[in-house]
Amino acid sequence: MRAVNPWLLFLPAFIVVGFNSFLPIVYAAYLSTQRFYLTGIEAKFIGYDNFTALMFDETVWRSLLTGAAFVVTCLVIEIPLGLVMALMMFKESKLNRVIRTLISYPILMPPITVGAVWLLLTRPDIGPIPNFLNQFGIVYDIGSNPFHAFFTVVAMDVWYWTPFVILVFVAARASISPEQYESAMVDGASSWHIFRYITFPGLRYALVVVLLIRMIDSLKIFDQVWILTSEGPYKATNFMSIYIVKTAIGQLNVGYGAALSLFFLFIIIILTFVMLKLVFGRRSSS
Amino acid sequence: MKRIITIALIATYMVFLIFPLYWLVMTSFKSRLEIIGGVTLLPSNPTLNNYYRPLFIDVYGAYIRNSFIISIAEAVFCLALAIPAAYAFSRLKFKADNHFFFWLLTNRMAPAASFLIPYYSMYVYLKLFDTLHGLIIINSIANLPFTIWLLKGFVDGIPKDIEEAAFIDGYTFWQMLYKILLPMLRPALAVLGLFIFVFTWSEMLFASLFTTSPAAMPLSGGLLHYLAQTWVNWGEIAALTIITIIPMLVGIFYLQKYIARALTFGAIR
Repeated sequence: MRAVNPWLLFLPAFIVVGFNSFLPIVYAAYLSTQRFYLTGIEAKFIGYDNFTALMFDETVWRSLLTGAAFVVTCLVIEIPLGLVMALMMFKESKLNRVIRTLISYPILMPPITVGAVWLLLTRPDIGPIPNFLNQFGIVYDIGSNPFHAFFTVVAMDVWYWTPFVILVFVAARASISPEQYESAMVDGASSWHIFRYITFPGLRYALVVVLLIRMIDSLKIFDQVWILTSEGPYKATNFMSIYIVKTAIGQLNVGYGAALSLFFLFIIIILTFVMLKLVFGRRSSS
Repeated sequence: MKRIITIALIATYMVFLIFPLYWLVMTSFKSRLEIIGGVTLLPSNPTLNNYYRPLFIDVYGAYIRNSFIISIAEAVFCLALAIPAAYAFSRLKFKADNHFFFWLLTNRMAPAASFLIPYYSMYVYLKLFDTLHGLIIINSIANLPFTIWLLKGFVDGIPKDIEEAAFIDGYTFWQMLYKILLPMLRPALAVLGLFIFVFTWSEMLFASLFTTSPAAMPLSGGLLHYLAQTWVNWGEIAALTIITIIPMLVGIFYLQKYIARALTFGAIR
């Protein structure tokens, strides 16, 4: 009855994922030791010089800092907004179901279309937002003002991902047992106390999950920004992914690009590992 | 009073969410002159030209076909590989299974941009560049781990007794898998298949850089190239964007209640 070997069942998937991840990482590691431009000049072995250059590359640290500022700004807006909205529309009613379906449409939109839509909204020549602000004498230009560029990308992310935060909190709120609320009502607890001692503890796990997943996803952001601002004025939206693609495709600097790729991959893998330990660790160890 | 505030807040939020879509749809029906001429809330002379030229004169019809082929094939491919793997992780103990399971998800979370450079040379060398199957393989780096991870959760939910009864009745393992387990997983497979379809349809970086010809380029890549080439006809860009979104909007009615679970890898049910 146990005639089947688990390795055999896992093997095809392992080969495909392995081909897609081990091979490129090994190859990137090789490339990162080369001075190599895709311009026909022969590659030259330079050891870990690319990584030394990376440590002293101001743009790398600025990109990471821009990314961190972006993640924090987005989360500070998305989490409270998502929580408030979720608590207003979690009850099971026909209207709430319709509202929840309507608000979730951005989640399934391809990121490139999100970028295109926000480009149509914010371009200084044709966009309704700059046009509207112009009537009050406000000049709004994501192409030349670094703050406008950065906060427009934040607004786009809030628009894109808050619905996901709402849906997670709705699901978590629905799983808190109603009896807890009933007995609190009987005891005459204030609505603040109910939130503080029943709702909030019930949502804490969802909060950790959504924080970590949104953090990693925002740090990796690429498609929408590539379309909307690219690296942005004064590199205001030059996130790490953008910098890597610019280095590889714009400057054809493959060796250094590979070093950047590995460095960024390393950061994301550490964050993912922390997430897995915090979110799934307790379940899988049991 | 509290109710009025609630309604006002939800209404404001919904305007913020829906206005961009409204604007996109309206732009797609405007003529080029009207778009450049200033902001109008409704198109003064609604036209379908923005849809006609890209689809029937330009090559975007081929891109749509490629997108469908790649996304459907990707869904079938990932599910076929994920079903046995998910079963192994759910039911069988093997050495280092937890480490493999975690390793899968690190692949899902890895940034696509960091694989760009090595993939490029690999794909040219292996003749996978500018082919449909090349894109199908590359997409599975994120989709296959996603599918296995979630499918394991669904298999966990099926009681073991049913399988054991089947084995006692003399079923071999593969008979049990296809005749007993698969029918019970069918709703889960449909949902996961749709999610894979959506993710593959949405993928842009590899789609735009690893394909060059209408024989292989999907819609997301085509849209990026259009945006990069002609900075003039915004109406056509809006129309193409809508065409890229429509299959996803159909999915939202079916997938809405699974989004929280899928995008948190089953951490939230």
